[in-house]
Amino acid sequence: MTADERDDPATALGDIWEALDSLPRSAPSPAATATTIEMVAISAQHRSAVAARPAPQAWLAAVAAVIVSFLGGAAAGRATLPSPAGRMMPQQWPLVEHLDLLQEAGSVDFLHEVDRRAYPAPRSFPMLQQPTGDDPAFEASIGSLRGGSLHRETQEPLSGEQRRDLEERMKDLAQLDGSDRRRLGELARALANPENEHLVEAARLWHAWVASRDPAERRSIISLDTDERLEWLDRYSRLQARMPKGPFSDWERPQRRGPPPREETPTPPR
Amino acid sequence: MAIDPSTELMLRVRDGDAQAFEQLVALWQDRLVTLFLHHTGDHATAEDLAQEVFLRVYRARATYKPTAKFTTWVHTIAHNAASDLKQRAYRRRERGVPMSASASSSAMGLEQIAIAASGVLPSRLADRTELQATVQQALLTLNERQRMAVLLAKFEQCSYEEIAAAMGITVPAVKSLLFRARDQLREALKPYVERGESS
Repeated sequence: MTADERDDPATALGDIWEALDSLPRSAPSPAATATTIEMVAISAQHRSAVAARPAPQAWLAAVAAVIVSFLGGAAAGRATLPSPAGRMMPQQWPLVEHLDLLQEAGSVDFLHEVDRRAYPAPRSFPMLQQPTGDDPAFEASIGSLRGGSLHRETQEPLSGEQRRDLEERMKDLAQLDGSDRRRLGELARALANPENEHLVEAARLWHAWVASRDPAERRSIISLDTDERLEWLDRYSRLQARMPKGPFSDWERPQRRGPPPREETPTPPR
Repeated sequence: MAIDPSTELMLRVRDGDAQAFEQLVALWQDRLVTLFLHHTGDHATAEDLAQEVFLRVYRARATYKPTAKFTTWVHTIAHNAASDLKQRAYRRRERGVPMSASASSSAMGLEQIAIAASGVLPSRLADRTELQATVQQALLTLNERQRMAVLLAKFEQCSYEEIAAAMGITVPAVKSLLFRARDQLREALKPYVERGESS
């Protein structure tokens, strides 16, 4: 090793240094930065929630009672005060609060394509007889996403069930890979933008199609990728177009539950 | 004494300044993704690792002391995150989960890379994308520590001392890593280096 090599890694690497110049550098990405901040906020909240959970130590009843009391107080505190992550970045919560909605809606590209192809509403779903759709859960979620988050910004205390539900969604989100998290983050921002009403309409229409299927089938439909979803919509909208008109026409009748409707036969004229 | 901008931002993060954290992410995200991209060979993994670094920075914010440069501190975290990834990949392999794309590509032999870098296809080699791929593959033949040392030197302009601090090794050990890395890369890229096509 020469004296130069002792002073400077560039000299030590010699002619290889220039060859390494050919390697690309990552371009600035505001979307990636936003996603990173979201994920740090979510992960930090999730870890703090897990860390605060009591360990099952049944053999130390007295100590456990003290710990439970302490954690009870801490939980009450957490329910009324935002977490450190919440204090830092309350604007990042829509992703975790609306995870179900976002996973169902899929991606911005998918919704753009649904809007472009102008699919009809599914006839077999009674709600969609008014295509604007008013599934209360869906509308509440969209409204919350567009108007700001539910709990973090209003500082409403979370019930135990709400907190558990939130933690479950944090876990689900943490299990997604980076590209999926970025996709959902972009989608949340797009749906929250009032200029993207067409995307909300597309999400509403897709929600109606999903909701029109058997509950057991919905999860598998939501798990389809963009191309598969569009293929699914193409197939079922074509099928619907070939079916007789009417919300409860012959082809749908076997799906109805309960006793058959009583036929009101007019009294024959004497 | 003037402190560097990153250290100043980190001190504000320590005091609970959300905007400072966002600025810190914006300042460092691309640098870290670049570092991890060439360390793992996979862009999605690189972004995940960068996120992991920021998460660790955030979690450790209360204990941050500006006794060392923020740069050295974050490089240490980056090195640890990359090492942890390797451990997780090893455990996955132990459980029979297939290797990632980056891990399998690093298994490409020196001989194959030398062929790719040879004059057999000079017109293709002139293509920058092809050249990038060749150098990237050559880099992936280095072991993890050699590769991290090279990348910290090249992309983060770290001195021997800074690399040593980030990787938790001595300065002579860093020199040794770089020396061996140079020889290995030179062998892999021999035809390319000899023709001086990098200029």
